[in-house]
Amino acid sequence: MKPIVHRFSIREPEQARAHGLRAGPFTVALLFWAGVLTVALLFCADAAAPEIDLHGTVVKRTLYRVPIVVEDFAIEASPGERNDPLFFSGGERPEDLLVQDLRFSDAFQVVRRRQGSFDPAGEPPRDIDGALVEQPIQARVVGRMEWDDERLRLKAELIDQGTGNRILDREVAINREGELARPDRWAIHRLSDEITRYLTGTPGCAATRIAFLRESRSGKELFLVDWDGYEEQAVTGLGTILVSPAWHPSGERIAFTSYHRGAPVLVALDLESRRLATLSTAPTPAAAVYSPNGKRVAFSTTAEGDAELYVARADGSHARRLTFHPDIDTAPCWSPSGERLVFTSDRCGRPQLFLIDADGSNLQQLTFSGEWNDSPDWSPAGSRIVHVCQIGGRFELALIDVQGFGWRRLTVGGGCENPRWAPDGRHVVFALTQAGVRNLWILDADSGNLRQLTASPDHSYNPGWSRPARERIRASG
Amino acid sequence: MRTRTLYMGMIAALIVVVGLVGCSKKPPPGEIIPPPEVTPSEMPQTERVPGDETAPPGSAAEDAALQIEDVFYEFDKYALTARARDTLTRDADVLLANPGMRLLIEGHCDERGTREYNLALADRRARASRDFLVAYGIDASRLETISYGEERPFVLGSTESAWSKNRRAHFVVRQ
Repeated sequence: MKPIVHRFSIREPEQARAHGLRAGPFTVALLFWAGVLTVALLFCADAAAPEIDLHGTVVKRTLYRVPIVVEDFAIEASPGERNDPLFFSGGERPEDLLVQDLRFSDAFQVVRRRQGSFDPAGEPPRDIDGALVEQPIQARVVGRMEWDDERLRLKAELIDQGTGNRILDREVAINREGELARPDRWAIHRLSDEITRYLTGTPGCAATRIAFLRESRSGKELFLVDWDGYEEQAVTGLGTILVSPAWHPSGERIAFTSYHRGAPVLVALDLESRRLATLSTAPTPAAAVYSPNGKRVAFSTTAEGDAELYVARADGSHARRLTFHPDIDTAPCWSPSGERLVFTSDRCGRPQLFLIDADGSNLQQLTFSGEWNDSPDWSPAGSRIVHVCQIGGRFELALIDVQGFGWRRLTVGGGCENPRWAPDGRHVVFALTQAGVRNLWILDADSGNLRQLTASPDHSYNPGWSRPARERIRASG
Repeated sequence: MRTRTLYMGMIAALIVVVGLVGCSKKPPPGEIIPPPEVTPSEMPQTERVPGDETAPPGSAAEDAALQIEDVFYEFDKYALTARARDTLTRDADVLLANPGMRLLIEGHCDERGTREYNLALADRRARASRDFLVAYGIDASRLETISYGEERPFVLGSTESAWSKNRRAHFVVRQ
């Protein structure tokens, strides 16, 4: 959506004289008030329209999406329960959330229908964006929510439109207890992930959260937000500088560099107990990242001169040096197998990406061209490495295969920082500077679809994407 | 007289409107999230920032402290320019003349590049300045370094003018 700009024309004094008007005090007052009104409206329009025109900032590609029909859910609840603020109230409907999740996955062309009203033999339907669905509908979601004593039950079926078979039959009890502020929303996120997995073969990532930093006057604090931009919450209130948050794969801890003791230290915050554990007090410990099995942590420190990579146990003990070069080595990221790492080094004069085995052997340069290649993140689903690449003086996102092939540019607008893969190995969250403010955006690296995750007047940056819920949170039903 | 009153009123109104417009950019007060609690045993210690130990105003020590100048760097570089060397030479002379003076050398970067890389780069900048001073004859025990990367810019903005001011080694004097 383009920002609305109000334009007012004010007659110039010369023009006024030419028309035989004298600029008396009241004319001046009139012009003055018009000017004040214009300025005020311009600022209001700016404040009310944070959406930014994204035309021309990403490289778009046409990609097949699975046509799917979502029918309105049947909701059975007593009037009192219907107003329970925890469970879909205030006009919020479960199928709306499911449709949004499926749309955000970029893997579906979603058609909305009332219960039982979809006619496969009828005219080709239109999707929720108004586009004609030309391919045959593959599946249909039929859902129902009902109260069973104190619990809300979500029942959903996924029906194959070709055979009429039920390919997914899911029933979940949504409990009020537990760590989740909105278990109802979370249940729908998980349903969306299952549908995605059944129909596309790749796991969805709706039941995930993104950790990030937000800058305020008092410091930079750790925040969490659901993948759809809801349930944003502050996690820390340390009033200091934090850098580079990284999830432990369990989803229980987040490691980051903190200046709360003056000199920077590497700490891990347990999200449940809210305790900070110190991982390293070596000089300038930075860029911590846990191995995929959660048993090790890689980071850089300047303990022995310049920034070098170290690998330690997850608690920070038994740190072992990995790189030996008198230039900067930092920003490590593990391969999905945990056997290799990709990192940034300026050993050839400018930052470039390098690969190294987790035991320090097989050092290999990955990027060669360009002035600046930095901030690599290895896809959890394969061999693609997303990174920041300076092109024409601007910082863009680009992909490169671990073999050094398949380099592809993802953005064209510049201002991109810290890309981090979603667990689906398809979406990338990153910080984008627009109008001088950093906010988080999610890019589908396959199609080029872009959506805004945070819309704050304060800088929001340094994101990290949690692993999918099914791998880390106990089933609730 | 009436005209003057009118103009005065307009100026007053302008101040009010500018104030209101300024306020409208901030999030509504109801949306501020209270800072979450941190376990008391892990509360950040309010350690004194080394630079807070300032000398009494007007003293000889303060005069000396005011003579210490920051050093600036080129983009993505930590090598000392000829100008940086001149500045450091003057700083070193001040340190030699004031044996009680100690320095915390803060490394800083501009906002370009990623935070992790900039932490490492700013660390190198602080060390490059320290190494020069040590080579000049300043006892290393009088010098400490800390890297702030791009996290504490001196000037906000995305212009070369702002960037060049943010690529620096900042000296915090302790007596």
